[in-house]
Amino acid sequence: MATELKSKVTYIFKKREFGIFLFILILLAVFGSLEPRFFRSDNLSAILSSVGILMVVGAGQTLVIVTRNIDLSVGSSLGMAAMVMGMVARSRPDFSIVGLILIAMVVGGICGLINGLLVSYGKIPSIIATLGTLAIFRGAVFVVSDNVQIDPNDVPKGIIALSTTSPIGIPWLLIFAFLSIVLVWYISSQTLLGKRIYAVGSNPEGAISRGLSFNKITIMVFVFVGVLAGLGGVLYTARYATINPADVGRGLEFDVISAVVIGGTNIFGGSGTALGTALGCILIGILSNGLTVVGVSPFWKACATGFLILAAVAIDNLVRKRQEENFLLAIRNQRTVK
Amino acid sequence: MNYISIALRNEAKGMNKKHKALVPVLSMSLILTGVSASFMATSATAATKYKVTYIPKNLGNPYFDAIVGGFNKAGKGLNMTVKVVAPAQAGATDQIPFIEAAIQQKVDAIAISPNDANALCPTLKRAMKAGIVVLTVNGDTNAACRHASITPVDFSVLGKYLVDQTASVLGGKGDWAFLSATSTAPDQNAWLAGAKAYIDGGGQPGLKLVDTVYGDDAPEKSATEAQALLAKYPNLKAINAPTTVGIAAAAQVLSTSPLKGKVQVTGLGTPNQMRQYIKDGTVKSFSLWDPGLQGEIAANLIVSIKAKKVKPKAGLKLTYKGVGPGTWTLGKDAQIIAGPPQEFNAANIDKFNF
Amino acid sequence: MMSSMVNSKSRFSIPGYLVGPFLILIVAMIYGSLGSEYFLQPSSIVFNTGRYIEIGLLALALTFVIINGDIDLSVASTLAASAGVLAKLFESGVPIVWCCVASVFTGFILGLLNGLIVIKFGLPSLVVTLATLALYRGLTQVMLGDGVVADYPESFVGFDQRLVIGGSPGLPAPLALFIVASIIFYYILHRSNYGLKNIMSGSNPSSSNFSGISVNNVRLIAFALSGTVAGVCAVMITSRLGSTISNVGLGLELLAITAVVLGGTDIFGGRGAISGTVVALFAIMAVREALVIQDINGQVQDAAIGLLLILTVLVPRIRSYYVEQRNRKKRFNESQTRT
Repeated sequence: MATELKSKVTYIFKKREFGIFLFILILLAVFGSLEPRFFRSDNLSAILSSVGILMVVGAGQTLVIVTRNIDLSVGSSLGMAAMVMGMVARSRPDFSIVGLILIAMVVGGICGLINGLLVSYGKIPSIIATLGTLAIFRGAVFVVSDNVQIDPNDVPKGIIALSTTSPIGIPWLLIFAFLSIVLVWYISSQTLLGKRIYAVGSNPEGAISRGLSFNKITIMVFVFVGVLAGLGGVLYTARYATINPADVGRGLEFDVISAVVIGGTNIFGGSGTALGTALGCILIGILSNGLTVVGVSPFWKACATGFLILAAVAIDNLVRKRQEENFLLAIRNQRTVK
Repeated sequence: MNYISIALRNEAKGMNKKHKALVPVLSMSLILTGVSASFMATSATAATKYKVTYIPKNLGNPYFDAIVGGFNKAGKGLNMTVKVVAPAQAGATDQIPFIEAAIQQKVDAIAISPNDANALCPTLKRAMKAGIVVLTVNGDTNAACRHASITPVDFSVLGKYLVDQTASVLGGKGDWAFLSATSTAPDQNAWLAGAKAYIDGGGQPGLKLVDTVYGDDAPEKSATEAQALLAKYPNLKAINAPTTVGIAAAAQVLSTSPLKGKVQVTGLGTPNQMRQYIKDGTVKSFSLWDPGLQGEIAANLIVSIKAKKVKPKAGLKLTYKGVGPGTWTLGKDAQIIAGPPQEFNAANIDKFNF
Repeated sequence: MMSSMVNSKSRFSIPGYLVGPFLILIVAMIYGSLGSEYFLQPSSIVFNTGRYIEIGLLALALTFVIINGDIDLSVASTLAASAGVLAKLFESGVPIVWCCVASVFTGFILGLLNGLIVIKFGLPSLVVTLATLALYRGLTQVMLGDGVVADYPESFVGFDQRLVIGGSPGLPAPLALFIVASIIFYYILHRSNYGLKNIMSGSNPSSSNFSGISVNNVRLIAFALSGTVAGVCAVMITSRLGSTISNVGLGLELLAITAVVLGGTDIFGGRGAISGTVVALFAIMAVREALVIQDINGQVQDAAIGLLLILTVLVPRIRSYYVEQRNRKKRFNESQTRT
């Protein structure tokens, strides 16, 4: 019994996500000791709010990267969804909140579908396809909005409330973030679809030969991240209240991919967890907020983010190498024993 | 050379196929893109006497749309068409292609709200050499690169105004911080410098400026910076954001925070964007000016220079009927100041629409 | 099989990957000149090439990196950091010539660093250069803060306006530099040993290793080259703008990568050509200028380039898919007639 417990504990320790969690604790300790105000509840909740949107989109991006693809257009999809929703809200102030959310998710899903088709049937490498749609969707935001931004006045109070309240006291923003992570966790670990997604990512040729519908799965993950980007658009509107065609969602893809990579997802596909991505988002949020609160000049932030990504990937690689060595060693030992 | 390397080189050169389908598809798509996009371009095809290109900082900013409104209003009576083009981002050099295009098109005048005080100079100087009237609107470059400049308010006193504005919402005492735009923005930096000079010279002694942060005119970053200010300075009583993106972000942060009403938000913002926050009590007052007036002055000034060969220099007096007070005097470095700032508060917020 | 490859080379044809960019270039130039009589004026072509040449030089070096199987997202940040070094040294009184040398050297070091991290730690270049994109940009921001460095000497500023061959239209210096660079890079890639090693490392790293090619060295050189070119571009951009601020060159990496991919280079490595990158760069330049002269705004310009990028990759693939279907049918029919 004791050994069982011990092996369970060591198992957790060995997990990549625990390493990130440990690092988060260290950062909290460092920032907190340098500046006790860091731990103020409104500051901590501000950190969570700032990464809420990142988590929602990151959850989707995780699955995309697991399938050995990448989606650089999430920021523009988010912008498109937010802008369309905002325009509907502005012209019909009594439109239902749920309806608006659905509209945003559908718009995001359409963007994702376009990406998915380009990558699967069009056979365009996802990095190129989404580099193109990044620009195309952004242009579409401009054309659709006719260059006019949505002011806070035009945003229904119900949408803004999403970032502050909900029936159970925690803002909807955080609930959605949490649900997205849980959803991706559930899909990836508990469903057959999830296993297929990981299979496609770790061995595309093998997966095809086993009869998995490569195209269908690819389209599915892109639509999924598109829908989540649409939801992100709603949350963006809730949090910032202004939807400017040039600014909305700009640069999001860099933060999302950084968070996913820091969270332990391998850029070559096949492995990665929703929990890791969530922790990666939180880490980025803590770093950004902490540096400001502690008083580090804002100009060091970009450096810090770069170092973080490098460190995360380097550690991940070392762990992976050691796992491989252990695995090979185990096989060899088995052989000699026999 | 052996066959392997030749074969590999051929391999490296890619498929040796002709692509017949490419011809119609690509040309169609290019033409379609261009044609549909041309419909979006804000260009009039009427043959008027004066052709002006106005290049705001970037697109989608209602503030600059108001300047365009002023241009068009004055332009109607002056036989002038104004084209508005701008880059996707407010980067220092992103406006250069549009200046060059205007030079090529041999327009009569270029009006620009510059993203950078220096980087555009080589291109603007070429425009001036080509006989094009160059005006800077709402912000300025190096004086050698433009014929005249129209500033919305007197930049040299706007810094003092911002400090006084903070004092008025705080009742004269308290800690406060600036939430500015990009760290390289020439207009904001000029105001910040003016504010610091005023404070150092003894202005508003009851106030204490604790920090200056940069929101980069991006909503997310501005909101994060505002939040960080609240966390870092528990005694903070006001945030002054002299940029429309920053003030909206800070107001949004505070309107959903328990500190609403305890920490004041003020600065420069547009009535339409800020109306919400005046009404819900987050913001007591903020200011701006009438951006459209700058457009009207600019349009008239262009005609003066082009038609009447007026040379803009300090001390010159010009009369434009119906444009604000009517008479305008050029100041140092050929600058026209459009007028004093306008304060917006609960009493007058509904009277404006921009 | 091999002889057919050699034979098909002797028939005069534009290589397949060039057709796309060439078409775009021609259509854009027609469209631009239809839109405005000023478009094809030699003077406008001369004055407008400057800022595209920087992207072009970055794209040339990036071609090597991508053919290798790597990618370098940090080129723009390397450019910025090099420009920052140039600016800071100039500010502290170092003669401008040495500042430029320092800039190129900084680019070299930063590129080398990219390569070392990728190779020593065995990390994917996408992620490493994503990190250094942030890291090097951060270094630039730390160096320059919110300040501006201007006041460069008159003799230094305005490189893009200098004419190597005078008269009208003349040959602007940046264009001349680009032509020379293209020729040099062409020889390196297609006619030298290193180029061959580069292509082979990209198409099959493990067998290249077994064949005695040090793939790691090849990659390292490609990264260092990319960084050095970024350092050179930093000098060019500083001269063109006459000032330096911390967000210099922001976003250039995407345009450079677009040029490389539009030119037919396979993003996964192993296949590509300098000629493709060159034509693609001119095509992008033509499209952008044609749209600007039509007063089409920035976002739509970007969208047009994005659309063209997708089409250039999409159309050949769809076509080869249909060709394969046709071949399959043919083979099937043949096998039927045989039996």
